[in-house]
Amino acid sequence: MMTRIIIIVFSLLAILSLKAGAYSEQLVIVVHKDTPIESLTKSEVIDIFMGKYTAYPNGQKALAVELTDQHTLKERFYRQLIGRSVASVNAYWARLKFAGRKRNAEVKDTQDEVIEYLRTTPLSIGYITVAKLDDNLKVVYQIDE
Amino acid sequence: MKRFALCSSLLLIHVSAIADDTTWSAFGTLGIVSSDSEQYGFRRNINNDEGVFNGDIDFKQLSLLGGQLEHRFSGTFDLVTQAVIRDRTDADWDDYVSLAFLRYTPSAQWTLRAGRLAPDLFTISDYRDINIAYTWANVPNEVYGMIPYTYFDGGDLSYTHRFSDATLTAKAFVGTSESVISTGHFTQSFDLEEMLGIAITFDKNDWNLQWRYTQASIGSEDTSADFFIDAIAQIPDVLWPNKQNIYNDLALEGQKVNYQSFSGQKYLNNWLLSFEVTHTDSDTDAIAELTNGYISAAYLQGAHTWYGVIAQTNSDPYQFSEPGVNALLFPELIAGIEGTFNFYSSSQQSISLGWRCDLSPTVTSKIQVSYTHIDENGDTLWINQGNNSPSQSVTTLIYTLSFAL
Repeated sequence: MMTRIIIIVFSLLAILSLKAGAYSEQLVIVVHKDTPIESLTKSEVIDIFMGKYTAYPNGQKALAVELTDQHTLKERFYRQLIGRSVASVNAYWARLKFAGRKRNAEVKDTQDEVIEYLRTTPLSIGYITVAKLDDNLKVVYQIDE
Repeated sequence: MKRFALCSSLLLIHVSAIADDTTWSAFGTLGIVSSDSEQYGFRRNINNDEGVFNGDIDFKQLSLLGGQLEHRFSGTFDLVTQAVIRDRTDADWDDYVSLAFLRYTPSAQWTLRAGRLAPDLFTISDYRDINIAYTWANVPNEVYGMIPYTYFDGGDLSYTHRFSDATLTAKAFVGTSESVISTGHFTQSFDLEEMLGIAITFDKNDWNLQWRYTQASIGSEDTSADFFIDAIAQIPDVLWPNKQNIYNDLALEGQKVNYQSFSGQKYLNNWLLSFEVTHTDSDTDAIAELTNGYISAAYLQGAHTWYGVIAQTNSDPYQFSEPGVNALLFPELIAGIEGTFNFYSSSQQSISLGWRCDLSPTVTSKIQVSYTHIDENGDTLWINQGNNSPSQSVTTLIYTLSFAL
């Protein structure tokens, strides 16, 4: 009987830790804590990161910060957000940039650099994993797996 | 004045290049083209004076290398310059500068640009040199082959409004543009002045719809017209009454030309569907009224995209019908006038199949085979090596390797 209880408890703990691990890797869209925005819709997030309308709902400019192409999180982000690869997103941005329509987002090599940029740049917006969240950042959208 | 502005912009970017707020980027295409016609040579657009004929392996038509420098003066004000090295016909040094403008973006809604800009006549006009940016190995020639312009000098103002998960962007632009057009044997300038255009873009979820209208005046004299005007002037008025009618049509300078485009794009699961219909007309019979278009379907699977495009250009050829003139009396002159007026009378249909493979996030390889049926006297988009313009079918193979950094 005792053995069965121990097995059940350990199984529950294992499932919880797996779920917690998965949750900590979930992607969230974050802004600086002082940005006067509480949440964004998926459509608003897409418009900001695809350069269609780079502003928050209150009309203030949104300054997107992006990860470098080599970072695996970037592929995950665009696959989950719009179902497209980084190559496809880059092709789309190439037309905006080289036609002189839009300026590229700020690009950083690591999540820590993204977080530093978000901390120091008013109205900036970026994507990180839940595990990297801290008190200086505010989640405005959570991407569903 | 225009060149002074360009030089100033380039000097500014040179000085700015020292600063931290300057970024550079590049794009390029290695394009290889082969075609199977002895008479009709493939060319990128009517600017090119050389064609790709049966047995040729061409590297010049689609290959190019571009560099772009951007300098940010502040959060709202920046400078963009771009140079593109490629094969061009009768080009001056400043023709290689494709962008050199100041951009003012006071808000997410408004953008004002002034200087040298990319032309926005049709949907892909302003990024047709950025091969990696579109699905196909080459933009549909039936629509874009008639447009030789790679820049315009002027300004534009755009406003974007967001509502109900959709964005609506309106842009107005004014300016002038320069280019040359060629038949292969004969090349002449074909500038656009007093360009005045508007572009409306509607974007919602996976849908994108665009409409454009541009009106312009032809800014250069048709030198071939002088020959015909002199010849007609020597004919007695009794045999050719109302000569002024044809003089007006032959003199292109100052004539109005209108460009219109409607296009759409939709992502549907793994499919990307797109179309564009364009219409070009003018005040003169010397520029044929053209209705062109394409539909495209592409299937995306991972790094691979398989696509098909059906495209068409259609026009009614000019036939001499001046009242009171017996055409049988001047057969060679009439044939020459009809030939000149029908330079723009392109008429052909094509079907293309291709495969795009994204080798990395910044490098793409594409291969495309196109089967084109050219109608009799409808060969404007080709270099014709023959003495006549018969109906003919041509198969063209295009490979491109392109990048954007």
